[in-house]
Amino acid sequence: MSVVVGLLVFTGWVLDVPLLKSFVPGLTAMKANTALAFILAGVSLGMSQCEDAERDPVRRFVALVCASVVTAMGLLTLGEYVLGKDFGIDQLFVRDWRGSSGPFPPGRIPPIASLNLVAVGTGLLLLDVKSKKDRRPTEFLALLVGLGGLLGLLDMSYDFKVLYTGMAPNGILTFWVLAVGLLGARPQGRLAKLLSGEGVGAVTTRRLLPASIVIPLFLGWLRAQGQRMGLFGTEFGTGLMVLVNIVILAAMVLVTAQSLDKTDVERRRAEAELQRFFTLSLDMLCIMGFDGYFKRLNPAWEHTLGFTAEELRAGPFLNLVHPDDREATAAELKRLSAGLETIRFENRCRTKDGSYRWLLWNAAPYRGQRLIYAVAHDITERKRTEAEQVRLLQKTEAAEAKFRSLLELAPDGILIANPAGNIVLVNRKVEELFGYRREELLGMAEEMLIPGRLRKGHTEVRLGYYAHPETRAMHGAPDLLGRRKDGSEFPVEISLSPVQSEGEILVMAVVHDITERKRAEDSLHELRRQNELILNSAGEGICRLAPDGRCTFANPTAARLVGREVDELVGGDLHAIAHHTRPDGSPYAEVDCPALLALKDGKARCVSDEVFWRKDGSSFPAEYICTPIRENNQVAGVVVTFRDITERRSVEQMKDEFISVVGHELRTPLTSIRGALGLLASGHLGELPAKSQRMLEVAVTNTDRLVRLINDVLDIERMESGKVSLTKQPCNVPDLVEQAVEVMRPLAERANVVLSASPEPVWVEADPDGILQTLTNLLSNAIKFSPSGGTVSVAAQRQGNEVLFQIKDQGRGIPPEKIERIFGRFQQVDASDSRQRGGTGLGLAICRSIVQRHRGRIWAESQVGVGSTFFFTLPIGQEPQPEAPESHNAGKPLVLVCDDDPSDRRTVQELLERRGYRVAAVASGEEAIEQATAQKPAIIVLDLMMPGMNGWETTAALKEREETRNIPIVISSLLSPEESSQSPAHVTAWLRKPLEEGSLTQVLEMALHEQ
Amino acid sequence: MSKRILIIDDEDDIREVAQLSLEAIRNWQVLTARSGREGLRCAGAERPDAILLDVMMPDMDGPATLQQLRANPATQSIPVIFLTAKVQSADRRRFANLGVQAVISKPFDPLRLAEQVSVALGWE
Repeated sequence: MSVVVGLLVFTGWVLDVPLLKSFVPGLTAMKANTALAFILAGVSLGMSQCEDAERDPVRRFVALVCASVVTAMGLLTLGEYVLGKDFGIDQLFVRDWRGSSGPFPPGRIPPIASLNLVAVGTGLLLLDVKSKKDRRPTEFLALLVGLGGLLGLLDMSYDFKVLYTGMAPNGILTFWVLAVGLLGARPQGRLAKLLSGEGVGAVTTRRLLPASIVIPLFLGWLRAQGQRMGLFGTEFGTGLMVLVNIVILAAMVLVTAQSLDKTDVERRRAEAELQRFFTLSLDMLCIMGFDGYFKRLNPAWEHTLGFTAEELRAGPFLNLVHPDDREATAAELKRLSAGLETIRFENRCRTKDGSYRWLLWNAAPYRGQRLIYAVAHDITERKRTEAEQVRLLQKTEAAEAKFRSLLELAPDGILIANPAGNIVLVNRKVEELFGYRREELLGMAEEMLIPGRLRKGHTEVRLGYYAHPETRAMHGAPDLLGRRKDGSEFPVEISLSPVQSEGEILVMAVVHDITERKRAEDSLHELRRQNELILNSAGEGICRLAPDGRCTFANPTAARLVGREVDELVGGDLHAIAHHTRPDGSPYAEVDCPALLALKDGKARCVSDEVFWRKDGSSFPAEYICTPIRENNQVAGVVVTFRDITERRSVEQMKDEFISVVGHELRTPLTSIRGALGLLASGHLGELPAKSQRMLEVAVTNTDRLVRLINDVLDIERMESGKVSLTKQPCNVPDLVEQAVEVMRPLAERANVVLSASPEPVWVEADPDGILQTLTNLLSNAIKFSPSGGTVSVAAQRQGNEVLFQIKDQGRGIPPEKIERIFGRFQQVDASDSRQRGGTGLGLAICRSIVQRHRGRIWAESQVGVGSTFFFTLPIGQEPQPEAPESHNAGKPLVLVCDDDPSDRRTVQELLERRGYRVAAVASGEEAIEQATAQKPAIIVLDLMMPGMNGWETTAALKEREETRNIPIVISSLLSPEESSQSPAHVTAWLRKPLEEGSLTQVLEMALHEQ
Repeated sequence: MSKRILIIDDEDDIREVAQLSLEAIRNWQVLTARSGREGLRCAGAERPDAILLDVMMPDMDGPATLQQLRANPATQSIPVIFLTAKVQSADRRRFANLGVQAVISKPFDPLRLAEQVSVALGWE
């Protein structure tokens, strides 16, 4: 508007149009310079309209230049007035040909107007200048401009004579416009805000300010006009004006007060509402100073943190903040202090109980009051929920990762297909099994994984599965087959499970490649078939017994041998069917059945002297082996393998008879020959010539050799065919050695060889006859091969669980290459030995056989020219432990021991005395009868085979006599009762020699007890 | 002290050698029989001090002869020694159980035969 007014006036001056200069005819015209200044001021104001102008240097420059010119114009004009000079600027652009108007030179801007221009120009220059308290000089200058305009208006209205301003009405109007423009150019200014704001002050100002200016002005004008017109005098006019002023001002005050009161009520109501909201808010509302102290808090703070408002206000807010969040919170406070708002800031604040609550903040600063208005929302639960969700998510992710891992590591192929039969998930194994890559498999129809000929059927199976989706094995006939990418097929086993996923049912198939299993099954089947063939064609009967003794398997041979069908054996009791009776016809108790015993103790048994019974009641001699089957360290059954040994028995019998006959038939003529030669050679039948005598001696020697050979051959044959049974018992080694030495002493003396024995006092578990034979054989060899005057020593010593026997000679020794062979049959170091030394070549073979049957070892060590040592070992034996002898035996039962063998007699006597019996020992039946009659023993232990009156005869004599009839008799014999030809009716008990201490005392105690 | 010994053996040579041996070495009086039955008769008639009885003989073997000897009160107390070519220990036990005083295996040493008999019968 300023520019328009200026242009119009300036144009009026240029064109000399009076109307344009004053706008109203008769009124004072505006000066051309004033018009120009208005144009410049208007341009400057337009260019400075907003603060953005600062960012546009051109606009800023233009605005400053225009403002400077305006100021300069005002200042120069004022200078002219002050200095009383004409600077030549008054009519610089347009000539004021009308001359001066009033007291002022022509064309010169009036002084008040000049002052106003200086104020306008300065105001424009200082538009953006402000103090720390936001005070702007421009606003002050704008008020000055308005006041200048008002002064011009008063002059014009009241026709001042004293202070003539000379200001044109359009100029006054334009100055007011510029004043408003200066205020409005920076609306954030305090005065601008006061005039334009929404507050009560701004409203009141806008309402009262115009009235307070216009009404007095108008009333003053009316009074002046009235007085000029003579309507009333000065006193009345003044009184009337005062009265009207009072009425109008009072009315305005009342209206304004009413308005303010209404506003105040509304404000109070609003404040009350706000207070209620403030109080009721669940969120934590607060006003905080820039110093970090709370100024005001709503109750939510107390509820949330547990502190009272006073406690909260007492310290800086940062003290409540979690140490980890303190730095961020301080930064946020700094931002607020700088005038920036806080949106959704989170931190943790301590509660009174020491825990922390998560708070979400929105805050805005009020810099004027250095306050921060803040709202905090307790998001602890949300955080917790979020944390829980994160945890759950992590858990879910971990579970999923685990699932993935399991899926990939699964030993079976796993694939999931959708209802359309397309694969949606596979694991690594499926790729391996079918030869497709995962990308190829995903989306592929699952039917592609089965042979083409089976696909149609599979589709039906799939559709059928959806009718009853449950976990089950997939059925196929006869077998399920998979098809690899290369077209090859392989047997599979598939289990199906429904999987609920996002509203639809998927099918999970677990595919197990059973190629190996099928192969194993086929192998097993083949193996079974072969086993069956073998078992069916085996020449031996084979039965399996279950732990309860029932027969669970029998091969056809087993059934044939016992004259039955396989079905009759399977499920039955083999012992009851075919093993119920002993060869002698006596019942065979189950508790003694080796097969059933093997079931109990898990020990294998081999039996060759029993019979099996056929269905028709006949029997056959059988040899059978019971082999326990162990599973998990428990006896799971027994396999009984048996065969009919009728033929073998027959052959063996024939062989035995043959050997017996041969032995007898050879010996019989030899007996005559040996006897005849012996008698002849002895000279009892008369003296013979020396040569004849020599020949007879040769004949005797070789006959003896022949006899030994026959005996050895028969011995070794019986031994190796098992005909000779070992009777193992604890044997005192020194006794054995002594006996052997005594037997061999005559031979040693004839050979002039010294025999030396040094056995340790140890015991072996052995058959004494066999060991004696071994010792005598070895000693015989040692003596035969020792030089005259040499020494043969025999020793025995314990080594671990064995006793080592050594027989050492000083003979010629055995060459190393022969030392291994000498234990073979007819193996001698020198072929002439048999002739020169009278050996048979079988002695060491017999020794080896005996030792080996004792589970011992035999070997020789030798040095040619120095001598040989023969070693053999036997298992260590336990010396029979006598019970603690009692202090005296007086009053103990008297036992009469009758045995012609002094060794046996002494042994029994010592044994019984150790047990506390009194013993009377006699060597013959006659003595026994005599002593029994005299001493009345409690019991008699009687040997059977005695010279003179034997055991049976003695027994008969004792039973005949009144005094001895009731004395119990215990037979002590090498024989068993079965081997005896006589009935043991009159004897109380029977003991086999050699006597065992335990058996002897047990039998005696029983016999005495019965008596 | 001279003894009367009855030798029962079906082998003539053995019988003769044994007889010669006992007569030559100990100057015992020897009776012989070639079979069990003949031996029984001789034993019953002559009541020898001891009988050397072969085990394996046709018709009536040693054990059967022994049983008969024991059955006859006239001969039941005459000690009997088996002469046998069977030398197995089982046989020895069996024979001992039959009630013989000893078993002497064949071939025997003619020079020791009388001694073996004496020892077995407790004559020394």
